[in-house]
Formats: sequence, structure tokens, C-alpha cells
Amino acid sequence: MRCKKCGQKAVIRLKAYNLSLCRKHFEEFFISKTSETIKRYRLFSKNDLIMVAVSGGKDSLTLWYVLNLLGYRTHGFHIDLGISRGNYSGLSREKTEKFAEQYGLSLTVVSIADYAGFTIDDYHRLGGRSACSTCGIVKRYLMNEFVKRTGSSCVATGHNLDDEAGVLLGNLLNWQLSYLQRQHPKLPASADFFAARVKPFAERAEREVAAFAFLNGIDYIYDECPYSKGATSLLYKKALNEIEEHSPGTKLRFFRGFLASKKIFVQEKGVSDLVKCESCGQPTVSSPCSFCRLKEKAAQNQNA
Amino acid sequence: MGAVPVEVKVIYRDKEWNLKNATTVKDVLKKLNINTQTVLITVEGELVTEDHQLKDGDVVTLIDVVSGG
Repeated sequence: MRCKKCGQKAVIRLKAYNLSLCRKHFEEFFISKTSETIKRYRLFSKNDLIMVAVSGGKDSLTLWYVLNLLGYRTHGFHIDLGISRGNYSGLSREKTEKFAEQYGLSLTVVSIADYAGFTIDDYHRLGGRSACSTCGIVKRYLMNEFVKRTGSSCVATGHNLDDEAGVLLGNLLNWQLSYLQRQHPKLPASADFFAARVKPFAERAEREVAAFAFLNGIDYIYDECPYSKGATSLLYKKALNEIEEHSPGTKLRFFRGFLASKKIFVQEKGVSDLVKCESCGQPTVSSPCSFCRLKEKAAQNQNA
Repeated sequence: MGAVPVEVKVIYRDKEWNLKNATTVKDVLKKLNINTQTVLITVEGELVTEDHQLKDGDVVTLIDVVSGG
């Protein structure tokens, strides 16, 4: 195949766009499409300080790379979750720190073990709440805390089109109306989250992100989180990729069509009263907040 | 003249094996029943498209792109 722009040998075929592109024109395409998403959904401006949540995986490292290429002000934020199996957290942290050093980027690393006295492994051993649920609470809490501390305007995550379409499919199959009301490339700041959460790669297919990372030599962790086996998100992504293979462009049409039609999911809802957590002061539905309850349970287990 | 089927080495998910009677990368994906949306394809370390003509002894590496959980 030849590049549609210049006729040189193509390195990637993008069936959803009916395009084959050489390296140079694929990189230009990827960067320009990311920029379009940022502008289309008004994710942030050049005046904003963007806290990029960096896991060490291909999406977050590539996002951080592209945002800096586009001239945005960024600060990286990495949470060491203390997942020891396969040295997953160790390797993730190493890749993130090496990347920051290589490109001269500022990075804050928070170890959950040091910050709160427990790790995801500890909670998994305790039983009860799943590792994924615990991880979600921890990440949300710490991002909220550090976006405040760093004075960042927003938190950017590397969620891509496959992630968004997969989540959308799951929410529709299970009729999770409250999630459907909220899903969007930009979640504005609210009473319980101090800054907007944005997803500049929300319209970029996972394969495009991987190709960009590969071509630019971005060194990321390939291993999956050991706790992610059997996750339903992977099932939904697989189903969508089967459809995409036969009907290119399905994922993007699905996601964009949803965003255009979102108002059908909006319901009248009561305002939930938020209170201050008696332990940490963060806004919460009930005090103490989920994060402080995790800390308390872990501490009780250690003292037992 | 049509392409000549060749034998290549395939590397995927830390496993290696030899595959015979492949002419293009698309043949490799078809024989392994792999969805093109889920992998990047490299031949001798270079990113290629599905129609890439293979040579005898080429090393084809498939890189998973799907992450999650």
C-alpha cells in the first residue's frame, strides 16, 4: 500500500478513515486529530497547567508526549499502587520516571504505601472489595488531592476510543443511566472533584496510539495489570473490535453518535448533599470518605 | 506472476513458531485468526501494512495493542 498523501510506502492502514499513510503523514494525522479533539470538546487551553495521570502504559505516556509536542504545559502524576506480582508497579514506575527524565518533564510520584499505609496487594489479601474497585477509589482520591496541591486546571488521562466505546457498550448493556448521563471526553470540575477530567485521546483508536508509540520509540510497560484478567471491559472491547473489523468506523460512529444524542439520557435528579470527610476534609457523600475507610481497614488489619 | 508462498518466523505473545505457505502479512493474520484491529505488525522491526509481501525467513512480530481492565 502507498501513502494516500505522498505515495511513499505506507506503514499503517486506517480502515475507519479509508486511509493508508507513511510514517510522516501518520504522525501528522495523529497529532492533528488529537488537537481537533482538544478543540472540539474545549478540553483545555495553552494557559492551563494540565496534570497528566501517567501509569507507564502506552496511552498515558503517548498522551504526555503529544501534549508536550503540541506546546501545552503539563505535569506528570504517577501513583505507585504497590502491585508486586510480576513487579508490575515497579516496572510501571520505572518506565514513567525514565520517560520523564528522557524528555525533561516534571513528575510527581506518590507511593500509596507511603501515603496511606497500604497497597492494592494488601487490600486484595484482605478480601471484600475487589482490587479494581480499591484501585479506582485510590486513584480518584489521590488525583483529586494532587490536582489541588499542584494548582492544575485539569487532569488528563490516556483513555482512548476503544476504552470509551467499550465503557459505553457496557453502560448500555447494563442500562447504567447515571453513567450514561456523565460519560464525555470532558467531565467538568464539581463539588467532589476539584478540577475537570479530560480525555484527549477519546477519539483515537487504541491501535493508532500503539502505532504512534512504536514509531516514536516510546518505552512503555507491555504487561497488563495482574488483577485485570477477566475484566468485562476487555470483553466489550473485543466485541467492538470484531464489529469494527467487518464495519470500519463503527467505534467512532458509536461514540460520537452517543455524544450527539446524550440528552435522551438526562434525567431530573435530586442534588446529593456532600459533606466534608471528618478525617481528610475532602468532599464526600458520607463521612468518613471511601479512601479513609480503606486506610482504616488496612490499619486495623495490620494491628490485628 | 503471483507471489511465491514462503516460510516465516512469527513472534506473538512471547511465543515463536515457523509458518509456511504465507505470501503476505494478511495470510499470517488469517492463519492465526487474529483481528487486525488488535495488533501492530512489524517485519524485521519495521511497521508494515497487511498487504506487505513476505520473503523467505522474514521475522514477523505481532504486538498486542489492547490493554485494559
